Amino acid sequence: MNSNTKINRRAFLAGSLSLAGVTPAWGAPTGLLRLAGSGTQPTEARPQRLVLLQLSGGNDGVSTIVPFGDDAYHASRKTTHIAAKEVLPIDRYRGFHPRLGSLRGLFDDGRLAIVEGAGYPQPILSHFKCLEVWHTARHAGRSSGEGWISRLVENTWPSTPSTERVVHFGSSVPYSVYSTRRPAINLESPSAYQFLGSESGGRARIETGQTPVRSNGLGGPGGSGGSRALDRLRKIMRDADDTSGRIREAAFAYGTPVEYPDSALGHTLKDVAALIASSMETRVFSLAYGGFDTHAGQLGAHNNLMSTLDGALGAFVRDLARSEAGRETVVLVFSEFGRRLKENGSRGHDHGKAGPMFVLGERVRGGLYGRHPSLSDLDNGDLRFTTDFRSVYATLIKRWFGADDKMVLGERYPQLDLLRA
Amino acid sequence: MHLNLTIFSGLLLGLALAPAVAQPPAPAAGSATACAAGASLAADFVWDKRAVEHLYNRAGFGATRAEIARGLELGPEALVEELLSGGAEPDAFFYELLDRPNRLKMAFLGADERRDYINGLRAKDRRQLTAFVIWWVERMLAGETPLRERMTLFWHGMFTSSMGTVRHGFEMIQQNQFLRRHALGSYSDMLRGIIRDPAMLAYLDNNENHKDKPNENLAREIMELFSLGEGNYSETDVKEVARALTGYTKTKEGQFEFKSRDHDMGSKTILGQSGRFDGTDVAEILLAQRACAEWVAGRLITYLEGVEPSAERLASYATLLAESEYQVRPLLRRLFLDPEFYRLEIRGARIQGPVDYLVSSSRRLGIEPPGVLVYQGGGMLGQRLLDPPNVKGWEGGESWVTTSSLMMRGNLMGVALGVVPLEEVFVGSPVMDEPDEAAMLAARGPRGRSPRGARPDISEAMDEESASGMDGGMDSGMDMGMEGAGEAGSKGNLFERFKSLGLMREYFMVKKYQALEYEPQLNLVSRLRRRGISRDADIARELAEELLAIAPPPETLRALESFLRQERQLWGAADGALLSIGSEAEHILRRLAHLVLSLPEAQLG
Repeated sequence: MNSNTKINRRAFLAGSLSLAGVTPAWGAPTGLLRLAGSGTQPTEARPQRLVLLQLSGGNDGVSTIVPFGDDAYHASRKTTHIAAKEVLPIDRYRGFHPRLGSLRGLFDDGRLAIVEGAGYPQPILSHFKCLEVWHTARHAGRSSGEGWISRLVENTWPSTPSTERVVHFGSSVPYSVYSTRRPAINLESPSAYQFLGSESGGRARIETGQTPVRSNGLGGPGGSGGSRALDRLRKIMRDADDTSGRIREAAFAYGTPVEYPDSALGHTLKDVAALIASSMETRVFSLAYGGFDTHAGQLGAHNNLMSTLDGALGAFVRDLARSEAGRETVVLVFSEFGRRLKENGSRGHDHGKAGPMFVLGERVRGGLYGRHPSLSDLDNGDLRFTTDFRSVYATLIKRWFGADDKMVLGERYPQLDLLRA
Repeated sequence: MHLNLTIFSGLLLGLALAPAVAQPPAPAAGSATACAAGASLAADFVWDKRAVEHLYNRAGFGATRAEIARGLELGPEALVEELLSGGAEPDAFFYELLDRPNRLKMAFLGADERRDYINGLRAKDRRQLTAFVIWWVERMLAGETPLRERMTLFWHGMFTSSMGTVRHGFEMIQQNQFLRRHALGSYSDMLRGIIRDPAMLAYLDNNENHKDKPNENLAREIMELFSLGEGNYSETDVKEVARALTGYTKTKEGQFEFKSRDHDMGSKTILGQSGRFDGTDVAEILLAQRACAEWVAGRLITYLEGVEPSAERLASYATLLAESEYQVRPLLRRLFLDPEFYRLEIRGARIQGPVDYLVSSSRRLGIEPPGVLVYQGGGMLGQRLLDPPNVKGWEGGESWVTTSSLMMRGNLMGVALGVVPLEEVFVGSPVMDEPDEAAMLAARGPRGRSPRGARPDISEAMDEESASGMDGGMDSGMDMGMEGAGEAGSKGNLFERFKSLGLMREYFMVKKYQALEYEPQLNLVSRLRRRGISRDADIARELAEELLAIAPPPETLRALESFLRQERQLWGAADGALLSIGSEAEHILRRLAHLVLSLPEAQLG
């Protein structure tokens, strides 16, 4: 395709489907002109990216990295235990859930770090409150301020704000990316991420190249409740406009030889890969995969969750390895808490405490980190945490993004040697 | 094949770039009447149409033009009394227990048949729940009982339970009907009742609260979220209340049951009082706390005004509530006649929730979309009725709006207006081939149709005069030159398209919706004609005033006018002649209405 055709097509699309002629009065050349091929993306000093995958509901860590070499494991689980011979062993004590073949492969390749016994002091068993701790990295939760990703962004790119720095895929935006000043971009699927509004004869705008003139005569006092809400809504509208076309184009244009499984998680991770491969300036991606609150009939349900996770995540990491941008991406998998060691009366497990975190990627130094919690020295029936999850955050903040971890987290936590030099 | 990159409307962008201005009040000249010195309204308070609208926005779900006119005439006191009366209740929704298996029948079934039988009953129960929510949403749309619907929604967000956890639609309907019955009655009755509500007992695990093994879930939430607020009770109180609630459970038929043998008969100490308390006593102890009156008054005012009240106002309203034994009406009456309630800084300053937005936009427009669109659409926007995300209900405020949900809101109103096909809301607009400039221009001619082909047949809604312009080109193949391949192809491949995106549930939702064959009953051309409005600027102002809950900012009006001018010029019509160009005029006006309802301003109410 020669560039001329491309511009024509874009000009047409932009023209026919937007309300230009109206826009020039106020419109800054954001989405439309970028699409019209007028600009190049500035190269950034730090191209590092982070993908946060939250396993919502409380993943049973003991069924994920199985301590099959511990008698207490088998003794505490009648219907939910996984037979030692089925486990994909790491060593004589622990191994991967049988459905985690791809992750085991990544571990063997040294690209998967397992942080065992991740948790925090004075654990909270409510999903809601516990997630607040993970999302703010502070025990006080929301009352402590914005989410940790928002603080990371403020500290890492203080002077170069970008609309799309943080993108959350999924229906409810987690508090980790909550920010009063820089709301995260949110979408469920690129194909539906568009305003299906009226088209009109807007070609004039592209063709005449009118200089945007800012509307004046406004200058109202501002600051009333109404105008504050309206300011925020308009900011979100601008962000939507700025990203809608680029995100859809990135997803549409993306081609990969890697086959993703036909699961919602697979679809979403492929879209994340598409955005990583694009010229978008997104540095943090967030997504959630739910269904881990296995109070009853855990075995079958958790098996399915593991299959889906392994298939999608395995494909994603293989896909990332294909490109430079992908190789500069780290994936962090976490869950708000693990589950009680002992099975309950409904063949499930109630809310527990510590569990493993995964860190994956080409730049990750694979292996075991932290320490597996004891199965005999329990805290009210739950595993005691051995590693503060904020050590993982702190490591990524400092060594991956080059920011001050204390500024982001409020305190210092021991660094882990999770990344290759 | 190329993706149809529908760029976000430049109009919306243009407006989004402009800084917001404080909304001046818009007194309607001639119609504003200084309020007669009512019981609590200040003499300088102006009862104008924006004040009436504000009351309707908060006490109901937006106002139609006729309601505003009537409210102006009635005056504040009479209108508030009318709202407080609750309006004429419709016949109650009929519902029944559907998911209890017949034991005798079960005995004769094999294992697989049993499972099918049970699943069949569950599906019936779910369908009944859907029918109920649609019934409720249609009550909101109808606007006959605005305050009752508004308050039922409020209590549903406070005394919240979710179908996702309870899993019995019968119990969820029963709880909502209970809240509805008391919505304008007394909070104390609600608190007493919710402790014995089967759905709540299941939702907060009180059916697992046993004498020998207490479960604190309900006990904690009753104090934290339903009555006192955090900080007004101790952890010991939680444990003691849990003991008092042991044995409060429900039957398999979804009725309250007190199992005295599972109840802890011992003495408990709750908030300083000791005795052999049960759930009834717990309610009375909580109601006697000053913190309870403050909590409830605070929740009510914050919900209705959009911001927390000052300490002074809170105290005064809490006292009123306590003195009236928690009757809701006296509090609402004082609030709706309080000049503070009408202060400019809170008018139009609240981001409407999804259901609010969909219902009130439809009401302002004068259409009644299918209840299922509001129900499912609300769910897509983060507010699935009878299924809130957690025990705190919906967070509301800023959290309602993200880049995705803001565009989705506009798209869903586009569906309600008949200018956006529902399937596009899920899979985007049809894939398009590289267009040919000449074909495009041809298609834009006065007899052709503008590029997007999926237009409803609005002939029935059109008046005779404009219908005469509807011959010829409408159904000719002219638009096929534009996107024929894409459109026809995408229709045929709709199933594949949904499937490839993993959206099978949504595909069947779309199919069901299409089977309703909904068309908005709307004729904007004749509406404007009746009002003698024909020029671009006047049309833009008229629709913006009618469809927005706030006075439209001048830059918004200019942009809308500019849209009309562009459209009109394509048809070679002079300013003032738009309404006479034929059926396309109605399409243009509906697209204008769609733009207005997609604006940042349209989210406020």
